[in-house]
Amino acid sequence: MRASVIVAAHNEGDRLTRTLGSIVETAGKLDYEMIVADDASSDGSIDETRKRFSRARIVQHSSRKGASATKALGAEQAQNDILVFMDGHVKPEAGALERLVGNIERLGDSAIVTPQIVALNPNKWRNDPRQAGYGYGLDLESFDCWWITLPRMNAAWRQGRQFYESPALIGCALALHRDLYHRLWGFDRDMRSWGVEDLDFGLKAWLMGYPILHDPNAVVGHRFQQDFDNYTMPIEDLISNQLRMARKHFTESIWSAWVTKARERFSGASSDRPEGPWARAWEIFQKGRASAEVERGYLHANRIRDELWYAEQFGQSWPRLETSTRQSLTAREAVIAAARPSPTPPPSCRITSQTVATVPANRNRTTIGVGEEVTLTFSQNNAAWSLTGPGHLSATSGKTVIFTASATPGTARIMARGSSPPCTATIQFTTIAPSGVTGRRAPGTAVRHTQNRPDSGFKAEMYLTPATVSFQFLSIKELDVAAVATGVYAPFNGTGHHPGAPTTVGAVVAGLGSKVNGIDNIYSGDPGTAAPFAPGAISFAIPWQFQLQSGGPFVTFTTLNQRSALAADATTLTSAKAGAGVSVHVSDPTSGP
Amino acid sequence: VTNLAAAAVGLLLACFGMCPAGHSQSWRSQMANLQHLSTHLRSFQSSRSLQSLRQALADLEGIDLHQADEGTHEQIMNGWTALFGAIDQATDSTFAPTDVPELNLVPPTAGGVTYPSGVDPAAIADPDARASYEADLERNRQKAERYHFQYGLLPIANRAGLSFGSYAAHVGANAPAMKERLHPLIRNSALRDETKQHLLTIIEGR
Repeated sequence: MRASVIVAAHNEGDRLTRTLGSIVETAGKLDYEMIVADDASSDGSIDETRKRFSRARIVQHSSRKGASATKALGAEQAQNDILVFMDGHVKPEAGALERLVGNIERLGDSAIVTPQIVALNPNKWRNDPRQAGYGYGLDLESFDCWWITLPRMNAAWRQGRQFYESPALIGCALALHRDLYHRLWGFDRDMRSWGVEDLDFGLKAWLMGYPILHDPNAVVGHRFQQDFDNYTMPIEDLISNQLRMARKHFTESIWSAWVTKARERFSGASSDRPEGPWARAWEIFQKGRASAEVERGYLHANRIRDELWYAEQFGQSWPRLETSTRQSLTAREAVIAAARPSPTPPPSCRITSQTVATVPANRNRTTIGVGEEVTLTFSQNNAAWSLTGPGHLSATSGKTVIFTASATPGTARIMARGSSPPCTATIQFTTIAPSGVTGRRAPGTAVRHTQNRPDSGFKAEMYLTPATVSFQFLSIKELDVAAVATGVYAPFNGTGHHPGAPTTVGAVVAGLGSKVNGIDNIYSGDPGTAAPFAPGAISFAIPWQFQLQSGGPFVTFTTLNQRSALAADATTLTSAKAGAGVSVHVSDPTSGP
Repeated sequence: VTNLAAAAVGLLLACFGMCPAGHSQSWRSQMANLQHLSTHLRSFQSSRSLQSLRQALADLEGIDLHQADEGTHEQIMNGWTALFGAIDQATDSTFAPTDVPELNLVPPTAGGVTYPSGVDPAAIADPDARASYEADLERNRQKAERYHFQYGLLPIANRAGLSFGSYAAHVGANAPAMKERLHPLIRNSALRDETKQHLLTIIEGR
């Protein structure tokens, strides 16, 4: 699967299902998962989505958190490496999704890509190509934003395609690689209601060295509205979001100047807010300031450009330094880049792992057997857990969860996101299936043989290999096969090997493997033929299958050759299976296990 | 005992469909998990399906604890007690993990002929030898069934202990008053003494 399409919604009414329908209709052959990230809708739109789009995975807030946190929730649940964010009121044109995903496959984690946005008539559900928006501009002083036409953007050729550099991001439709999403600290979970989160995310990208590239050949219709008919949007929430963005991005002196100007802008009284919206917005900002400060620390440690670069790059008048004190932008970037401690978040939180199986002794290993269980513990008191790849998590929140590897070998990546302070940690497991079986004669048992008869056999213990992981959560079974017999054993040719029910697998025995909970009898049989005996052999090519003890299909992982023979000397008898074997002579005394 | 505990969960859940509107989605989700738990425990008791027991455990593990109030914690604690009660009831204290069944058997000799191990009984011509072999196979089948059921209980019980430990740690950190209720709940339960001791040890984080 290539992409996760994340549709963020709150009380979208029938626009949500129409959006999902349009995605399905226009996605073509794109292999994708559909995630609906719902911000506590109460209008029945999610129930309708459940009825009509069984493929949609719905993740929800129990109470309203806002657009930014909802997009972040969707991203956390995404299973694939390419993330496509869509609002719950958009209509992609045919091929748009494929184009966006293809762009990210070419660009990797080096850029965010945005499509051409056209106006969507929500009643007729029809896009109007005459009203098209391309790039997006942002004024750092007022946070005003506006559309930019193609000729006013810088063209950029990347991986054989022409893009245009957009100074800002509009969040109704965009695509990027999951790694870049996390490198940019994701959408701000503490921004409220609606607005600013896309501008904030886009500015993070530019300042950390990742451009916003516009592709006019991908077209998505978006329902623009004059006011909010499906939810309220308090002005103080918008201002507090702007405060968060300013605090996170601006250096101290510029932050102070911005606050002074913003306070003047938003202090005016209104009939419903005689004290003006600023006081309440500042209160909201202060309440959530701690998380903004943490993210600020991360951004300032990792960015390679600052807001002064941004203003100069995109022709804005503020903020600017006096010419006499201005450093060369190139030189400043070099200084910042040299001081950049790490391209990834500082490890202020971590996941520790311990396999449930106590053997092998290394319980912190990250290569595990199919079906193996691992206890994961986050360094903070609580985390939101998500999984990419095969397997299962016992819970999506908590300090400790249990990861269960799937029956399918592969790589599973688990992310834990804490909030105090905001921090993300990941751990990756490689899951392997049994590759073979090692046998050994059961301790304390003798060779099975009747004196002067051509029979031989033994009891064996079987171990699933490799011994470096545990397969104790599996069951195994042998399949029914017919014998191939020659010489003295020819009467048994075609006889079936009729195995019993599935057998559980136990703990690892060091150096051998995971022990099968059953004794295997390997025995040639005796056809009762009178001596002399003709040299020959009886053999079974027995497929072995495993299954998770919790159920699921059986999977063949090896074929064991069980063989008993009378050698050409007409006296030496052998029996062997999975590397274990016995040898006896026809004249040896009778013995048995 | 286990039935009583499961019934208690059922009674506590009785308001699930009737409680007034206004409960959060999280609360509804918690109640749904507890209701599924009750269903899966009943299924386990009637069918002895280990998968039902695994699902019951997953129901408890999957409850979002961060929205849980005291009432919900009461029900979760009862749920854990019911789960361990079900495991207790199903556990054979005489089970010996080393006494493993056979993967296949060597049939008896008849008329000088002994068939290879694991042969299909239908291939044995002598009726007495075939009947004897079939009886041996049935005994081994029953032994294997008992063995693999008991053996299958072990990892579930082990995992339940781990997850109960996570729950107790969460309660200790976020609702210390509720943690105090865990002790008498377990001490006064009808669980086996060794299970009680095991759980009390887990609660104390030892």
